[in-house]
Amino acid sequence: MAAAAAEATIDGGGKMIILISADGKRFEVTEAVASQSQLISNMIEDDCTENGVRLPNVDGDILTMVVDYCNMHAGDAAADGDTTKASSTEELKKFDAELVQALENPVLFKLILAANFLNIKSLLDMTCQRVADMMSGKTPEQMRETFSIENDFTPEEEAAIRQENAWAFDD
Amino acid sequence: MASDDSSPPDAKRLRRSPPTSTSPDHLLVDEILTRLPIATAVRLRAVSRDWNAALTSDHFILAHRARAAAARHPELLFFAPPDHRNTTTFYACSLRGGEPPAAARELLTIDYFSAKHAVMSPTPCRGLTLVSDGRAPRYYLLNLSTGDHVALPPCQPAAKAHPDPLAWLPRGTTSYLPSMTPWRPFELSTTGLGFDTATGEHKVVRLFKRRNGEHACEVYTLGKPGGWRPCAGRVPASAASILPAMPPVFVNGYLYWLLQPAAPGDEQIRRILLFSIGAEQFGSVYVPPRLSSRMCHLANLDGSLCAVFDYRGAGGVYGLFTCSEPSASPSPSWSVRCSIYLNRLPREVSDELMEERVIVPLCTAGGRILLATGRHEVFAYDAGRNAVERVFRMQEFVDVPNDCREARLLLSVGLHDECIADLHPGAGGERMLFVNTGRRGNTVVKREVPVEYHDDSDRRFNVFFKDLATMAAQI
Repeated sequence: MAAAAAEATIDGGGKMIILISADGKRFEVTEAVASQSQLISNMIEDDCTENGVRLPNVDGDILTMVVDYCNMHAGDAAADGDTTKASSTEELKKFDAELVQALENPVLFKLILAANFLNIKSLLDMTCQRVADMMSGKTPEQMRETFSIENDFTPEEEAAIRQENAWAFDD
Repeated sequence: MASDDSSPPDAKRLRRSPPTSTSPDHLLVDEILTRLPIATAVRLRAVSRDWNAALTSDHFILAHRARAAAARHPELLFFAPPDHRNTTTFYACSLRGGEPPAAARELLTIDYFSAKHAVMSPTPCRGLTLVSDGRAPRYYLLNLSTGDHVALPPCQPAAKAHPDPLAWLPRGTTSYLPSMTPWRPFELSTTGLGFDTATGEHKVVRLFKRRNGEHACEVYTLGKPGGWRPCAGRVPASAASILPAMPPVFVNGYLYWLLQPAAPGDEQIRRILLFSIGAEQFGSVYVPPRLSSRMCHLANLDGSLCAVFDYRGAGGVYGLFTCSEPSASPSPSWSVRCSIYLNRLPREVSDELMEERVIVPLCTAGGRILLATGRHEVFAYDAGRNAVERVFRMQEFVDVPNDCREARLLLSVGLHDECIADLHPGAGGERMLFVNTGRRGNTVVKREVPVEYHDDSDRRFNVFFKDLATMAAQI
């Protein structure tokens, strides 16, 4: 069904491939853009993208973000030595910051899972760093609440851990 | 399976063993928790049993360390000169891209342990630093990031270093000079910290002269019962030439000691003694004769054994040589890492470097080599441009009294390694230090302190000779 579109090419000469999300949304991207995903890059090498790539783990709204991200970053690898790169690097940073800052937690987690599944290292780094930054000022109580974790320590055990590492609880 | 991914990474199912690479547990532990600052990673142990198990596992600690090392900018470590309080306080400051730091943060303070005779291992070894008092056979292992520490069991006392330093100091070379008082001399011992990657054990190696005159080597393995024991290998006769209190350098499984010339009247030939942490055998490193007379320090420079050759007195050259595989081949090859021609530098900098008694390389940062000096300064040398910039002065962060302008033993500045490695007390070691990490959040902001010449007579002398040389060149 997607075979015709998958064969299509654009002016730049890049071959197009179709990504299909879990809820059936279709995204047409160049091979250069899609191969930032190590998973898809491997599939392109193995020549099995002809009928479109089904991504049953990724919802359409998440895949929209991933495709946006990949489109923005497609020039990254190719642009080495390009004199205009400095300004575009600034733009990229701004784009990345806005992308992760705005996200609600559940969406951010989904994006992490998608980046992990598609194996896009830079996106995984960025999103995981964002979560780590959010965690870094948190107390154990706040973490239990955020992740709905049950405190299974006895009061004595918890007191012992806190006392042993008292310096880390000072802030 | 698509329905599964709508929930956040499942924190309840944290596992201790390295999970498969696709599970959410793996994502949470390996991809997210490894990015936490140390204090948070330690604090979150109190979340639940699973979190405690995950955050204290060897797997996590190694992964956290690897990620931190990849992203890290080098950090300087220094301990403040002694004050009336009889304490030692350690600080760290970050050198992003080799730029001068704007502030230093307080790591920890050891009470009842004077900085006056504190000796620390030159580079951190898998997160741990060996600290001792140069005059007594007491040793402490500290994780300066977390404050975790252990006092090693007592070991037998060594003979005292000869009270007359001139009797054993190599003459003519700019070496270190511990300030020794006849009533509390340094011990005739030198102790290093190494890590055995095969067994995952830290080992403390102490080479010393017994009170009966014979030389001995004892090893303490962290976390193993039995305390100090004799090393497996035979102690060579050259061990008689150790420099008291001066710790050896640890590089890739071996400890290296720079020995003093065998006899004061002898040719100024200095040898390097090596000790393998795994097999516990001694050996020596070949140094070409023309280099061995000018070698004055050893260092671990970015994971290689580095020897400092000081020709500042004759020709104004300061050179760093690195050795490839010093332990493996019978005649290792030494290659020039850099040569700094002081005469070609701007006068202010060259005067300053000329005055320093001790200059030891720390690491490379932003393409420049960081050089620490005995007068608590750090310079960044750019080999491409033959330029030197001063990036650190201890006086800008803490008070340095006049009588402490020079480190008592080599350096009071080193490198800091932010690491969660836990010490496991027991096995004979007990916590005996009064370590105070309460002021850990404290930062010391850099302040302006005018640069004054440390020793004006030295400077006038140097300037005089330089002018003379210029005049001679013009004639």
